[in-house]
Amino acid sequence: MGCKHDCTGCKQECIDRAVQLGYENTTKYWGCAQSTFVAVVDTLREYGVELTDKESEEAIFKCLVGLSGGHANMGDGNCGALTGAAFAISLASGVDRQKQLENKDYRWIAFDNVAKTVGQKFLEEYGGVTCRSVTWKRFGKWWNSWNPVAKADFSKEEKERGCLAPGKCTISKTAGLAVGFILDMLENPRTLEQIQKDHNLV
Amino acid sequence: MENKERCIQRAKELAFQYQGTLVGCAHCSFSAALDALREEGIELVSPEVQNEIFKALIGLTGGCGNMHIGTCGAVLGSSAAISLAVGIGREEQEKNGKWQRWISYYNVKEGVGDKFVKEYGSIICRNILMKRFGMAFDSQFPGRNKELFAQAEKVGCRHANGCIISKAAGWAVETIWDLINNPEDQSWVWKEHEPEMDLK
Repeated sequence: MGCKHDCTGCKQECIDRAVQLGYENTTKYWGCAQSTFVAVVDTLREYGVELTDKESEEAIFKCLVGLSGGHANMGDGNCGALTGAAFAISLASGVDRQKQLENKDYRWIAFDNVAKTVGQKFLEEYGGVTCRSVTWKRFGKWWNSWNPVAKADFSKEEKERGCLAPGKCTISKTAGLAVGFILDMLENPRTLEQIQKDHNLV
Repeated sequence: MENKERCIQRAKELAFQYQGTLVGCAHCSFSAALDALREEGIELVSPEVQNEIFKALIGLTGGCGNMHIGTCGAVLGSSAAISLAVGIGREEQEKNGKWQRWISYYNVKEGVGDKFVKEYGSIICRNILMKRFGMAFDSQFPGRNKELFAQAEKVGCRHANGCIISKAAGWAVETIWDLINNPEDQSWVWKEHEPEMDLK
């Protein structure tokens, strides 16, 4: 990962761009996880922050397609927007296999970067991190997207309630949040020592 | 033992082994599945790309950032491996994403999701812990992570056929093996769920 740009003065601009791209991606990629992830990666790239190379980005995209819609469209699992954002945040944390082999505590950097950012935000805003938590809070309703009638009803409500708009759509909002959190992380990265102290690991 | 069964067993053993060295359900289940397949000559991605996916997955361990309230990391890591093997990329999604996504959904749901629901009643980390241990833990709460690891040790999770991470890695390999070696026409899935699509 590399940062060739000083984003200090353009953080809000960067967030706004992610919000816009997140919205545009909803009907381009038809899935919350991959739409959120590429909105974050593309935005940061535009601002000089390269989270990963193109080949790996494509592979991660493929991994995410099946995780959309509360995990395989089951609704029960993580909100796909949260999953896509968490993938980007975890990636930016930079804990790879070698690092983790060197010291098992490194994983806590990625855990806390996810839990204390989008995790915490979803808890505050939706009362949970699952797709069902989000739709219950936002719509007062659950849908089984494997049921064609329920799926059509969900699409209809999304449109009627004006959710498919920048800053209103969960994908769009979450992409903006993730970009803001990643820029903060790059400026003030969590260290191994800090994590070990925070979690009493030593 | 047939190659497929050997690969499944190897994935289970690697997952258990990785839980001791790499520690964490999402990245261990994913790594075990991909490494076991590679040993049988099936390379889903290069080791370098796999390492990047590892970085993206590690933060989702423990039901999302070790909070235990989200998707079980073992479900997530093994599902990511299956979705990767289905292989729907960005360009394809731009062309036919609305229907193609169902092929990924279907294989992830059948391959791992439904199996977890059948065995543990859920794909959510803390629900699975409740079913397995009769208690669940918030690892972000002081002291609970150590308690969780002690409980796993106590109830005999620490072997290749008892560990949930091993089970998930094995299920991922089983699904991926069939996707590659015994492919079948799955177009009925999207035809059922996106019947209005008119493919050019």
